Amino acid sequence: MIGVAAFGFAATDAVALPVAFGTGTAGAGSSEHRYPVPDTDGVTIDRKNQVIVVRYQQHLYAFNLACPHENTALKWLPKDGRFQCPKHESRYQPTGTFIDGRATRHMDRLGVRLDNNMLVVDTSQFYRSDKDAAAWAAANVALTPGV
Amino acid sequence: MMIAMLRDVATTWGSFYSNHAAMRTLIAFAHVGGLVAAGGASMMADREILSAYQRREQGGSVVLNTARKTHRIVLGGLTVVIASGVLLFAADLDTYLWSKLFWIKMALVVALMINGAVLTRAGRQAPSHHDHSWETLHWTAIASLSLWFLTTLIGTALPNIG
Repeated sequence: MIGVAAFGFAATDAVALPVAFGTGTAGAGSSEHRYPVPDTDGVTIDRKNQVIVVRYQQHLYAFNLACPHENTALKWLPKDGRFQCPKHESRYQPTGTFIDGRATRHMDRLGVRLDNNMLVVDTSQFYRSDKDAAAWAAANVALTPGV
Repeated sequence: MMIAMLRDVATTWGSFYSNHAAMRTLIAFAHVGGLVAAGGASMMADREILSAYQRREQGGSVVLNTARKTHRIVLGGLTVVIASGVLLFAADLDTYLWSKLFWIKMALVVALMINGAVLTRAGRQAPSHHDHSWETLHWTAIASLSLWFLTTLIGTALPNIG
C-alpha cells in the first residue's frame, strides 16, 4: 500500500496553521504594503497585492503568491500545514522551503521589516533562492519571545 | 454555521485531493472525458443540423432523430462534467470563489444549457413548424458550436490566468 510518505510528505510533518485573506495597506513607497503582525502562527493571503504573509515559529515571512515553477497562485492547505501549487502540485513548507514537485527552487521571498508593530513588505525586494541563497535565507523577521 | 461546516468539508476534501495523485487524475479525466463526450456529440449534431439547413433538407427527419439521440449523450456527459467540476471547485474553493474567469465559465455553461434546451425544443417542433423551427435550429447550432469552444478556451485559461 502506498502511504502519504511515498509522495514525499509524511503526515507527522504537518502543522495545522489557519489561513486568512486580507489586503495590505499602502506603505511609504508604491511597492510597500503594511500588515498587522499576526498574533499567532498562521498564513495571510493578499490576492490583490500577490503577497503571502506567514507567521511561523516566531518568524515572519512574506512570499510572492505565484509558484516559482509556472507562476500559478499557490494555495495553502490548512490541514496539511503546507503550500501547494494547484497546477503541478509542487509543495512547500510554511517557510517557503521546497519539498517536492516540478519547481526547482524555494518559494520567492519578499523583503520584510517591522515598523510600529506592523509588518512592512516591500515587493520590489524580491529574493530567489537559486540566485541569492543568502539574501533569501535572511529575508525574514525574527520575533522576540512574547510578541 | 452551515457555511462554516461546508467550508470545513471543502478543506478536508482539498487536503485529500491534494495528497492523492490518483484521485486528481481520476477527477481531471472525468472532467475532460465528459467534455469530450458531451462536446463532441453536440458538435457532431450541430454540424449535421447546419449541413441540412444549408442543403435545404429541412424535412430531414434523419438529422432530427440523430440530434435527439445525441441529446442523451450530451446530458450524460454534462452530468459527469458538472459532478467532477463541483469536486474541483471544492478542492480549491478560495481560488475559484474570487476568480472572474471561473464565473465567466459558469455563465457560459448556463448559456450552453439554455441554448441546448432551445435547440432541443426547436428540433421537436420542426416537423410541424417548418421554417421558423429550422431558423431556430440553425442559429442555436451556431451558438452551440461557439459556446463549446468558448467554454473550453476559458476552462484552459483558468489555471494559467486565474
